[in-house]
Amino acid sequence: MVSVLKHNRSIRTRLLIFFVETVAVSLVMALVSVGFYSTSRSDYEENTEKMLLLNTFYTDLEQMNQDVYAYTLGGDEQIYQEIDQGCTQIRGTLKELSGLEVSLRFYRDIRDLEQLFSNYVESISRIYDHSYLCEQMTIGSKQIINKYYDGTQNLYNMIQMEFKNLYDQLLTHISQVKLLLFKKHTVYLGNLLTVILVVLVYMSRQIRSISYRVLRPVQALTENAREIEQKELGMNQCVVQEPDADSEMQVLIEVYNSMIQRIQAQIRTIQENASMAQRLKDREMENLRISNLLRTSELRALQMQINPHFLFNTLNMISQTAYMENAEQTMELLGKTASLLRYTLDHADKSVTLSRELEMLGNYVELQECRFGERIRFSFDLDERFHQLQVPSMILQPLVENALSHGVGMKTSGAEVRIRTAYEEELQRGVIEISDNGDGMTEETLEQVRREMRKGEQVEQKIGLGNVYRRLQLVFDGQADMELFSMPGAGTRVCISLPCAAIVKEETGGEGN
Amino acid sequence: MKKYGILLVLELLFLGMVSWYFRQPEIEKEKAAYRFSFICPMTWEETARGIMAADDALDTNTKCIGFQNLNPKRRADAIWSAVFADVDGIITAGGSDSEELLEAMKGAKKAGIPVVLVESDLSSSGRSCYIGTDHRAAGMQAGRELVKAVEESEGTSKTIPRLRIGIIVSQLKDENQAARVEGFREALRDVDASEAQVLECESDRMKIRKLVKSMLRENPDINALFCADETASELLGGVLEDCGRGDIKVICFGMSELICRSLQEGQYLASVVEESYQQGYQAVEYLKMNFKRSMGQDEIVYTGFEIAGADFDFESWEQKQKGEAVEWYLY
Repeated sequence: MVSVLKHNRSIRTRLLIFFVETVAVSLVMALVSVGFYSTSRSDYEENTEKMLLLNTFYTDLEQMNQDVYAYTLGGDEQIYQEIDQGCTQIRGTLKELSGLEVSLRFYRDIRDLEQLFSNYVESISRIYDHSYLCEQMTIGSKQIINKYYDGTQNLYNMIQMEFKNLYDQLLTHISQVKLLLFKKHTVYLGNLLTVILVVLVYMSRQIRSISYRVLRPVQALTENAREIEQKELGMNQCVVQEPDADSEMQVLIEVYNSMIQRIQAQIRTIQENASMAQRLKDREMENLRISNLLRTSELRALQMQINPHFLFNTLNMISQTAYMENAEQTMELLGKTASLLRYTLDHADKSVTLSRELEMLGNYVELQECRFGERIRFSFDLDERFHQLQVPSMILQPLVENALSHGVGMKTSGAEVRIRTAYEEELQRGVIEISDNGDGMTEETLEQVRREMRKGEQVEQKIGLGNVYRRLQLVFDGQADMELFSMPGAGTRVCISLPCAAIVKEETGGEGN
Repeated sequence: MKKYGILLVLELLFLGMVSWYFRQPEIEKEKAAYRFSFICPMTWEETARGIMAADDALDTNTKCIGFQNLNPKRRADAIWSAVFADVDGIITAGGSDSEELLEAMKGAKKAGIPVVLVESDLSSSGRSCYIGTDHRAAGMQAGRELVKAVEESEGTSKTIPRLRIGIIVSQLKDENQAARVEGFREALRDVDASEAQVLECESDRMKIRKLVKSMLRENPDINALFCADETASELLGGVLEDCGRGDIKVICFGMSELICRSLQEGQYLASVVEESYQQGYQAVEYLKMNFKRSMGQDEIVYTGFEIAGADFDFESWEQKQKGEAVEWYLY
């Protein structure tokens, strides 16, 4: 993250650099163009000056030749002075011309011209010398002077021819220079256009880069904000961090993402709290219902407590009477009944060991055996490995009660009620089965009973299947299971399955059957 | 910024290269230390190229002054102009012995300027040197070629049919023309040959056709032509074709595309090709070597010549002719 930020500049820095680059490039290009233009202009001016110089030479020469003519006619000393001055001037011009960089041919011709001019001046001086020597101009001397003058004119014509050559050469040179400059300009123009193109491409990349680094993150933020507005705030709705984005944009995106994450966390917290509150509420409702059930049971128990005092007293009285009448069997039955009653009262809302519950059931069964005699036969098949398991009290008796009431109660003979316990090692569960060979139930009835059982509904004023099921669920925290099996004419079986892994590990021996 | 810096450096390098490439070439002024003038017809390109090559090799500067038509007076004016320009040497052709020309050459000698004659001599001009073909020998060789050709065509018989020869020259008073004819005649001394006519065409293209046709008409028995004038040599093939006289054996001087075609087609037997390039080159060489030497030298330097036949390698010869264009001063 640090290294990414190190390479990222702020927007302001980036814009500043871009501005400086633009200005610098423009300035440099302008300078180079001006420099190039200046050199081109100086080239043109230089060539123009060359032409002017040559023209100056010719003009001066023409003037000088006219002066020679005038001098030849008049012999004026003043004119000769002017000729002399013109000569000096022309020599100077020729020297300048010989210094020009035109071509070797031009230079050569200037050298020839210099010699021609020297000879021309010499021929003029012959006129002057002869005029000077002759005190009077005779016809003969005039003829000589004319001859010398013709000589000067011959030389003047030669100089003119040479001048024409020079002029043509200079024109050719200038046109060549122009062509060269034109080519140079064309190359330069092409170069300038290429440079401008390259600079434009580079600048457009820069602009694109800047807009990418600034606008793209802004666009991403905008889109994200719109999404949040239109949809719910989901889990992964943060803006993706651009590694090349400028530092300000990165900070903005980080802050935005952080804000989103905090909001999402808070929403999750609120949702969790709501869910927990709901669960709490449900549990409270369940507790309330159980409390109600318990209260109801307590009430019944209380109600039953009211009568038990009377029952106990009555039972005591009957037991005493039975003792006095030596009715041992009666006394035994009464004892069992009292024991049963005591168990019911003492353990109404408590848990007991399975072995205790089975003991109580045994009392109940004995009483019922007395009641029904040979009509109903009770059998026990017990696996004591898990009998120390804590179970709610009064869960087996109602089941046996049901077997008697709804199962085999109407059979006149051969009725059987079987009570079986078994420990399933693989599943680490204890199984309790109450089965009878009564009439059984139809499938519809069976389904109805199962439904009522699962709902915990209590149809009758007795502690029924629903109650047993509910109490088992409560005590074993939903780990217990109770299932009903029945077929018409094949009897009914109630099967309770209880978790008892810890209990079996602690068991060292079993109770006898 | 770094990229712009690199771009700037590259740009400056490029501009520097462009300025250097389009710079004006430096003038080697030291080459003008030796100033010579070459005064001749503008058709003498080969000689002029030899001179230019010598200038490059010897660091001299020769002004090539050309004429459309070889006018002795104008040539004399050009020589005087060179004299008054105080040049270091003059190269020109002999040939005509006009008074103005002789006077101009003498004037140059008087001014201490050496004059070298090329191609044709003028011994009375006071020239310092003649560099050119030994025209007498060339004419003799041309004559021998004619004899050889006739002997070959007629078998090895000692006697060959009578040769009736027409001779075409520019002007007999030209020393080179006279020498060629003399040499030619010398070669045919022992052969049964006679001259029908000697025609002076003055190298005038218009005159040549007319005069040659007239000569052939007047002398129908002409069976051989000796053409010492290069201009006439070019045109002769066409004239003979027009006249239907393809039987005439022609020996001529000079080389051009027309002459070469005539050789290849068998119209001409042979042509004498001079080494004009060498003449120009050696003329400059002579002038530089004898720079500032005292005058009075009267030297003759003969350059070689070649007898070109039907198998002449015209393309190579033409290739040698193609070179740098000569910058003529038009007079």
